[in-house]
Amino acid sequence: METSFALVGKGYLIMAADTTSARSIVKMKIDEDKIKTLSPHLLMAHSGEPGAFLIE
Amino acid sequence: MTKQRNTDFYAGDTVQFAEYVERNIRLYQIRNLYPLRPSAAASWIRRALAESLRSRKPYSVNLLLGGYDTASDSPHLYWVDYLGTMTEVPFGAHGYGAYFALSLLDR
Repeated sequence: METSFALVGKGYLIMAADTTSARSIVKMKIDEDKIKTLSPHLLMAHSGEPGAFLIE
Repeated sequence: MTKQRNTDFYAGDTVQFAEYVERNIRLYQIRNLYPLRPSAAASWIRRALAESLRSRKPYSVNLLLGGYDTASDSPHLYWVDYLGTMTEVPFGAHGYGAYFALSLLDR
């Protein structure tokens, strides 16, 4: 399963997430960016079951 | 060029949901000339997930939404799960790593 963390401090926020895309024991990707920048002041970390794999 | 390989064994499409959110937040910005504040964005996302949960094929996506509210000069963090549960937290984690992180921070 994937992991993501976030923490609020005084006047700042940090967020971290892993970059693997796996199904069971099979790693499909190791460079998946799971943190999206929604706007200059908004970040979203998403994790869950991938329904489709996007291959660049 | 992006290729897409479909597997329909799981209810998933995490990335698709994230992109849906991203584009809607952006649309709001374009229409109104100012961005959504973190609390408003979190509420919108929670509602999108709650409606998805009650549809035929729900998204099973867990989210952490972090934002800096420029109006009140304060950072906010929202913990959202695939059931549409949302809460504002000082720290948060998802997945197996949450057990490690919360055992350190939750005291």
